[in-house]
Amino acid sequence: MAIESKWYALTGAALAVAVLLPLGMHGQYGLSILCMLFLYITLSQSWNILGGYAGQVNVGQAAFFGVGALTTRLLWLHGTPFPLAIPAGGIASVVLAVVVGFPALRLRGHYFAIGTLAVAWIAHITVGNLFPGISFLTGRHVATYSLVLRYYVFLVIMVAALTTIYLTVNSRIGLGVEATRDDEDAAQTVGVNIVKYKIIAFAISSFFVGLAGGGFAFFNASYYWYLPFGLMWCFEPILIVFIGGVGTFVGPIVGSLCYVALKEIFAFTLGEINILIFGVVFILTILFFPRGIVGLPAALHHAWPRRLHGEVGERANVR
Amino acid sequence: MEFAQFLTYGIINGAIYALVAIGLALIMGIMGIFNLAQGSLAMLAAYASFFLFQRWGLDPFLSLALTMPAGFLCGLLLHKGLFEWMSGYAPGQKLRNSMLVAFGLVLVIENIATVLWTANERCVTTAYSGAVVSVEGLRVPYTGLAAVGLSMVVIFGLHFFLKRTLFGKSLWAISQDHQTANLMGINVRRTTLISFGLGVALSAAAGAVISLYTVSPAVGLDWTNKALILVVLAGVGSIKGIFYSGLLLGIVEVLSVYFVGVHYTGVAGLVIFILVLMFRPQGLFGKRAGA
Repeated sequence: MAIESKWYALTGAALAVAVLLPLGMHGQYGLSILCMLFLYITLSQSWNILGGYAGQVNVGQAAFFGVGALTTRLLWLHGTPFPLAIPAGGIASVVLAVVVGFPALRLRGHYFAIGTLAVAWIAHITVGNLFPGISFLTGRHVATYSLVLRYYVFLVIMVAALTTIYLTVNSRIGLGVEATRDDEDAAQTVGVNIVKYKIIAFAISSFFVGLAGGGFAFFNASYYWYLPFGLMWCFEPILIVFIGGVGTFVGPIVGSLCYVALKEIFAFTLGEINILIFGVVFILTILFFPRGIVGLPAALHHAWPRRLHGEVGERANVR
Repeated sequence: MEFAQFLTYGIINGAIYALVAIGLALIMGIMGIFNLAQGSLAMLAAYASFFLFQRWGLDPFLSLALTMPAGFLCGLLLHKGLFEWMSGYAPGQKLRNSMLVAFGLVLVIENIATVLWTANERCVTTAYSGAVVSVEGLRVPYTGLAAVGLSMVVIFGLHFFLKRTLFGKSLWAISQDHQTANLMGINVRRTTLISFGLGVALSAAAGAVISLYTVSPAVGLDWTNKALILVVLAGVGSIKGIFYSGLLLGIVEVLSVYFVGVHYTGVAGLVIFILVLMFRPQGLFGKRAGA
């Protein structure tokens, strides 16, 4: 109980700092980095509820992110106020999940991963063909552009996503979702409706990814229409969850902090080859730290030589 | 007549898709390693044949004798260095983790290629590049004919190699149950290592054909994308099916250009892909159920 109240106090304090921060900050740079941080936390936690808790590896997150961004951008540029346009992006993403994702959920294991990846890929190419060129803001939008407003939009989206996902995974639904991941057949045998839990996890995941896409469309002044459909939006959230710790609630948050910091440092110091170093970090993380930072204390607890010998059996249980 | 001409190009495109996909079909379908970097490796091989042509005037189809063994060695190193770590994983986890590692590899390869050779598009222009053979009014480019021929030789050759030789049979045994295969006296480590090398060598073969069209660092992922669609269409584990699925995709794509318009080529691919995933998840030519 004492530990729990400590966590609540910490969360409250972090939230208060996040709300008050723009008042004391003058630099544009710091605020836009924080916007990216909130965006990545939202995306990676949304991936985590489906990929980490429910065990359905969605590699097609860019399609959902992109559809959210596309919907919000089109509505917003045609005069819809943003508090309506961004939720519309979230809903559009859920619609995509119903059309493409739910049928794909009938596929087990790696077929789901392959299917979602290919959907994202094809969506990227199709949008690139249908909307060639760059989406610009109109003069009216540019004149009223406010970074502080964008900051609060990303903050609200992130808090909504984290709260919903926290409440879901710590409820009866969360148990059903985890049972689905651990052993589909066993869960089904004891009467768990695995399809229902997969659909719940997918719906929550795609809704918040769509909202994040809406935030992206609202944040950027101009970008290529196909940019939010880019494959990096599929893999970045997965890498973040792996850095932090798969299937844990704090994992994506810790992972996003590390990721955004590393990305900025690399981009500043390494120049053209920063993506190369990034790729190497990606490979090393997946190969050597499949449990992420959250699992690091437990990993260090095992003596080094013992890990080398026991690793095959041990890793087979890692999610 | 115009329709038949479109169809011819569809068949040529399809055969090239199949040639790119065959390496992925071997590595993913039979070995369970989701090598997203397959197209990027083909891209490297395409650069190799481009430079061999530029420096020494070596024909891309002749330079296969150099690029394929180089691809084989490269595959051995990649498997030793990266993918062997996952040999003990459960199938689903192996597929997922290998996909992520391969994506890191894609970033590395693409970045190196961009730094070394810039993002410009290049292609090999041989003496016979623009030449066509006319069959009753149909114009068939020589390069296209050669690509279809190479694709058929490689795919059906691999099919018979896997079905008829001891090595091929032991690879099938490993794909079904690697522990039991090990108990039956099959050298699992060596067989998977060599097969991975073979898969990369097959991509190098595809690279020769790619170099006749367009090479740039960014084409790698596009080719992986096509290959992925074919592997799902054919069914994971099907080798001959890759060729037929390639023809199907190529023909459907040109038909969509012919009837609807060039912007919807990707959509046509998406529609068949989703239909197959929904109604025949084991693929058009696969026998095993999607488990």
